[in-house]
Amino acid sequence: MSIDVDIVKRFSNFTLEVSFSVGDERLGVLGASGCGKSVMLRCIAGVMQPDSGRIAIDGLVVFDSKRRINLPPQQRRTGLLFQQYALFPTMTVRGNLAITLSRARMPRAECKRRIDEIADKFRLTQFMDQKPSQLSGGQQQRTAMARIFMSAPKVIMLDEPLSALDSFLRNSVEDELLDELKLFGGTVLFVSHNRDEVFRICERMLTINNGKISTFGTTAGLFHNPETLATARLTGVKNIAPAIATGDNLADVEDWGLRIHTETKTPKDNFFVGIRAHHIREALPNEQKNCFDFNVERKQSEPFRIKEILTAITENNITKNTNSKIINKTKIPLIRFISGSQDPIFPNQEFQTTKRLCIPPKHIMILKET
Amino acid sequence: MDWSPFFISVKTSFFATVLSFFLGIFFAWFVLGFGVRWRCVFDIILSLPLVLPPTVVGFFLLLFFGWNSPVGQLLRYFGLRVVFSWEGAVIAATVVSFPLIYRTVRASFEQVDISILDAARTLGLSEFTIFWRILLPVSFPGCVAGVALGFARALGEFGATLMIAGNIPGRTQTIPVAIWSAVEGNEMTAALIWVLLIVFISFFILIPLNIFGGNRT
Repeated sequence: MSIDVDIVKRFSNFTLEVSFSVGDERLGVLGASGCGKSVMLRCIAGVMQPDSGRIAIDGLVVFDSKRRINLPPQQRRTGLLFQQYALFPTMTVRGNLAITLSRARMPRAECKRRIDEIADKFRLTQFMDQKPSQLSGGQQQRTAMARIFMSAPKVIMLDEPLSALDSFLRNSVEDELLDELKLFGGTVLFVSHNRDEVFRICERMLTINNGKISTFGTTAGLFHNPETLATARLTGVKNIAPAIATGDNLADVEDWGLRIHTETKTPKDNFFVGIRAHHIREALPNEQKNCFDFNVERKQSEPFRIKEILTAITENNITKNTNSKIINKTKIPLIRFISGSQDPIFPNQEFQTTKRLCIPPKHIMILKET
Repeated sequence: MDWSPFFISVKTSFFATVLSFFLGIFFAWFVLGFGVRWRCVFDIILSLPLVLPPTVVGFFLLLFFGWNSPVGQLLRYFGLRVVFSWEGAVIAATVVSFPLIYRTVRASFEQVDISILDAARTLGLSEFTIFWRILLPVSFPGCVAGVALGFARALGEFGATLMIAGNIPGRTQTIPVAIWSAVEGNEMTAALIWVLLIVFISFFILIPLNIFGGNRT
């Protein structure tokens, strides 16, 4: 099973322009709110029409603007799980499942058997006579997934399926969802703005920025090396700044007031560098490379980690040898996370104000702007 | 006292409301499929009977169904007549109650979460099933409110009814026409009885409207 998409849809404030292919796998679609991810799913499902392009599901062309093909959603066989689950509110759970068989001409007993089978699989048997409003968020989601399985879709698409849930429910529902998706085994598109969900659920992922695909690759690979500015932000890189190459493996980062060594070769044209907050570590004794003195501007306690806001104690104008016009620019602080069970920091508590820290070259990401 | 205006009124309003209801839900659904611009055009045309003076509606109906019009001639060919008949009263009441039902139902259709309908489509349900088993049940409160308003309007219809159906006691004389007739004939007691009856019925019509249509906090 597969989905091939190559579509353009224009809006007054942005244009969605995406092209990708996906096979039997769980593909995460990560993007900020309003970047066009939901629109993309709706176009594939056929409840929205792209301006131009081509969509094929499982080899069947369901939309082709050149050949004037536009199959109605009923014939596309896509399962679309909505953010709020879109259960039919006037019907019971049984009714919600049964209505998917309204077109199937099969004996009543066979219908009932299939409904009961799915209900059992999704642990809904005891809720069959309840209305959606009487169910918890997790039960509603199971009902919506069961309803999708009833319609025997070729592909399943999920539009922010966990964001309607309370955070304490989210983890258990996420585990259930992953089991259900593994049970399905076919093509799954998982749209989210939550990087953690995408990381845990999806084998590969693509990121969308301003309606265009920014990166496409394995989830682990893109979290390790996000490649672009947008993907770095979406995967939660806290420290990102523009940089200028001053050597093969050397970059000046004016925002931070640092000249840093990188493991990856620095490109000639404009680029950005990024470092994850938890990768900044205390310098070892006598360690020199990428070690700098920092002022700890603020220190905050989070539930299971400590956050430090740091500014480098270096000359303000590190790039005076290059052609930079910016002089005495205010430095942008770096963020560092220290994980582990440390004692909480209380407001007004005294803390060490300067530190020597290391930004390990192997963790420095080289990022393209687009 | 002749109670026929009461039965004529109830019968006329009932049939008019049923007709308006089916026409109303059909047009509300039909209009929903259009973009904002066309929806606006249809909305204006379909709502006209609501704002036009009833006499103007009656005049149009006379023109349309009169024996000089093609429709009137066709009906005459089949031995039917609308002018000065009970059917005429039903048509007049239908035309004036239709916009109220159409507008109320359309507003409640628009309130329905579009993703519910989209979900139904991706699940492969036919548009017919979606309309009768999902859209209409979900909009039930709006439909009840529309029917209550439409029935009240049909019951109170006077101007257009008088023009097309006339004032034939026992056949086309509805309560509002009977009130006018009674006052013209200086039978103030009879008029008062009809007035009180109308107030009483209207009161009961407003009950479902308040239970189902809005006013929920």
